[in-house]
Amino acid sequence: MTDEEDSEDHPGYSDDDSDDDEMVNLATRPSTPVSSHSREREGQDSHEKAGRFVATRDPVKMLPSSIMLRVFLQLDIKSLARCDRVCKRWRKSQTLNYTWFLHTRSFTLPQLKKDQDGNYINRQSADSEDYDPYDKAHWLTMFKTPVPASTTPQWSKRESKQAWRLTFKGLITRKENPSSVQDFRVDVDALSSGLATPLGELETGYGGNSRPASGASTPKSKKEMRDHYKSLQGRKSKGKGNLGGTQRGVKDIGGAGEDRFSAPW
Amino acid sequence: MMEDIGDVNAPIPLPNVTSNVLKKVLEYCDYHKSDPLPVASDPSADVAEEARRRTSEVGEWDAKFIQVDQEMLFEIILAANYLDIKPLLDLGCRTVATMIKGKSPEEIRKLFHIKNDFTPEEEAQIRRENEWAEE
Repeated sequence: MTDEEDSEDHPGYSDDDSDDDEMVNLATRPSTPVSSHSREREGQDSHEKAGRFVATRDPVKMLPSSIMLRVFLQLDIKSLARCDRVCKRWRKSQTLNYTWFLHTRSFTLPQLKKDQDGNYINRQSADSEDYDPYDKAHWLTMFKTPVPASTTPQWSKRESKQAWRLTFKGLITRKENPSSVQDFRVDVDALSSGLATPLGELETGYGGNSRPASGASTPKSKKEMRDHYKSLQGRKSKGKGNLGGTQRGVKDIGGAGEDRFSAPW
Repeated sequence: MMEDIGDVNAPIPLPNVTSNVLKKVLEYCDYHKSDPLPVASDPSADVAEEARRRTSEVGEWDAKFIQVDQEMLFEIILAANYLDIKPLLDLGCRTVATMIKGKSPEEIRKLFHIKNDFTPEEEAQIRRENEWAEE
């Protein structure tokens, strides 16, 4: 499955494949139907007139990729996955691959949706009500035709080499399996609940890294945490001072200045 | 499209658009000539978004109009693309999508007279690979 074969097989794809950063532009301007189509069709006509033999009417072969992209984008995931199984041409079709690419991007990039006035609402903005970076499950139910978050998705040679069907599969099967998400939650919980144990006290005391994570819990526990850090501070810096690390001591004091962490995360 | 022409008096070339296809296209345009103009679309709106907005429903007349054989359907799509008649292009693409939707690979092959060029082993392997999407 070389590139040469591929471009040959796709009438919509430019034959001058020399450009390294070949872009499949979504907003393709209307163009004269590629000449190979007419040849194709004429050949087919004569075949059909000639007798019983009916030539292929493969739309992937006959229609430019910009049009097939419109078609593929209207298909649901199940149908798309079945398209992969039709024949070799469809399977290695870059148009189909690009469709998977767009679907993948619609998952991995900030989801955009429009409000009634047609303005884009960025669901990832922290002030939006339903913002929850860990909740991936409801993205599944909200799934629709992909809307890439950027207006021109980057589609270069590098992207075209990737089997986005598989990327998407990995993405969606991971989402459907709650364990990985669950595992991640456990990690965050462990950080904040670890405050209760002596070991946890020590760990959270080092460097301020875990603070934002634990601060993600309720305001009440944040308050508790502040008190906790205040009481911790004395012991900590003392202990570190004994170890001779002045820098660590400074870091600790900086970390203890809790007022700097008043951001509402 | 009109800007592409330049000289107003120059004839518009219609290569690859046969007369019976052109007749269909004109029939479509004639029926829809009094349609309200679409709201000027957001330049940032991409094809996908546009497609979804138009997917809402197919009019009764349109549905009947597009009931043509595949060859004619493809020719209409190509002509609509060339002549930049967006609603007709959308109608055509939607029709092709509807033909594919929900069909098994074998049914799709039959539909478009596509030869199954996978070996049985390859086919089995791909089926396994894509099983995740079947449920």
